Amino acid sequence: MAVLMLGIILGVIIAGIFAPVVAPHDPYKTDILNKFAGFSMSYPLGTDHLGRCILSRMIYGIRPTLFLSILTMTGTIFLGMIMGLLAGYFRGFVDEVIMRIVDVMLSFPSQIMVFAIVALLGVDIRNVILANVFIKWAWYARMIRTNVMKYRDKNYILYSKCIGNRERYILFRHLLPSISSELAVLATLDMGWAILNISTLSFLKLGVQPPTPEWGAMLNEAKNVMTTNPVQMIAPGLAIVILVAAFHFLGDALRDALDPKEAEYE
Amino acid sequence: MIRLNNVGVSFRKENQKKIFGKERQQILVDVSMHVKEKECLGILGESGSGKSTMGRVICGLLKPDCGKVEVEKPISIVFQDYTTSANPRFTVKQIISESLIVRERRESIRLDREKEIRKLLELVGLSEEFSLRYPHELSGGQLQRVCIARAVALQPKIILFDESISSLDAYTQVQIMDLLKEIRKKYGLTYVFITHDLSSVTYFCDRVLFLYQGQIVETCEIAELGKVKDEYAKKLLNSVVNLR
Ligand SMILES: Nc1ncnc2c1ncn2[C@@H]1O[C@H](COP(=O)(O)OP(=O)(O)O)[C@@H](O)[C@H]1O
Ligand SMILES: [Mg+2]
Repeated sequence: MAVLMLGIILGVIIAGIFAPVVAPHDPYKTDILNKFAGFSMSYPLGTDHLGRCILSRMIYGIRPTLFLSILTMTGTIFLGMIMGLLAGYFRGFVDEVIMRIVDVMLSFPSQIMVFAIVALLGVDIRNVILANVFIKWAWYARMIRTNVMKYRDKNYILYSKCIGNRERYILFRHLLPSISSELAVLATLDMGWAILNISTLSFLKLGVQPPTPEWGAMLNEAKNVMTTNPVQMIAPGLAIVILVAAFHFLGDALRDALDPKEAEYE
Repeated sequence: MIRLNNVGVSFRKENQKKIFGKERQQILVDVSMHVKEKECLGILGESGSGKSTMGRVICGLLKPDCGKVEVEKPISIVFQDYTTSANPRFTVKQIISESLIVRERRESIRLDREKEIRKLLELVGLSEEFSLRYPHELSGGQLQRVCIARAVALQPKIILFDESISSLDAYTQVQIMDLLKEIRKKYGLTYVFITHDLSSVTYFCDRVLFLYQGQIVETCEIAELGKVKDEYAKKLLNSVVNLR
């Protein structure tokens, strides 16, 4: 199962990277006479309302979707990790301050916050990423803090402290590797969330702007002709569901794979 | 070397009577003690008497509520629970290297780590091939030897043993105690040896300190164990004698 999911994800990533080679047509080339074409040999998934090849647009759409999600995740995890490590390890005043900020952050309805930030800073994909990182880091900070607390009283860390080793060594050589497996699981599970979010915002015309191909944006274009050409929605809709599900399954599999190894020695 | 003056430690109670209660439980009460250079002091007490807490105060892992703590650095420690003493992701080599790194920084020198590790492993009676193993690939006795090597690698003045041999079988205990005696002679170290086992104290220490419910009830030289006056210490001594 995990291998299959990893295969799907890797396949999608590779297709995205080599889009110019894999895609049968130019994703921007319109052919208005050939709009809403059905499945055929030259247009495997048909064409859209401007006669553009849907398959090509799907393949090119991988780039913004996946790249932006990865960027969002990296930003979120990095910020959350630093905050969580600091709060969990140093405790006391630092912990108090960070965790109160986290509490406040987590009390905002997250989707509405994203809209608010995007509305405030203007419709631009950079702002979308910023907004996503901004609402999500607190959640990570809390998870990582909890994990750090689990390890900070382990004897090997007490030993490091006792002999006066540097904080940097303790944080980056002991603590970070100890929580890395949990972090990997979290990140994989959450990749699905990031993809959905980017697509949702593009669907609402707040993210990636047309004519750039993006799955959520394509879904939005297809929505306009939902009654006359419902088939248009299948490709982007299914693709999002499958990719998000693949990340979720992979995350679960990772957790199962990593947990027993931890338990073995505790 | 070590001096504690009127040290008191308390923790917040786990089961409070009120929901947001702030009841505290006194763990160490007015503890004063001292350890001389090159001495081996035993701290004897039943489980829950506050021995480990006292150990944590001595190595600076815990700030006491009141009282003064003077300890000469560097100090090193060997724990009872060897399963969590070493990072499970580290090899033996990395485990010992950590102490070497700290020592390098302290003395501003560069060490030939490979050579040092080889020498240390030999000292604790392990062959060189162990250096690439992970903690779960070692037996309890072997891992505890690695922890001792790590403690010695720091070249400390003092080593604190918190029930370091209590989880080992009787035969290994004697072996390790002999090893510790030898190391102490070789490097002129000061030991603090925490235990609940009187026989290991008599085998190993110069002086013993009886801890009962967070208070030091008696201190005496090993040679004068027969002269203890305190009721609790007497009871402890008698119970061991009766067992034999
Ligand atoms: N971090 C802590 N928080 C609250 N209570 C603690 C903590 N550490 C130890 N205690 C309590 O202190 C008492 C003495 O513990 P300890 O020093 O470990 O005893 P010993 O090592 O002699 O068995 C125990 O009753 C224990 O419950
Ligand atoms: Mg103890």
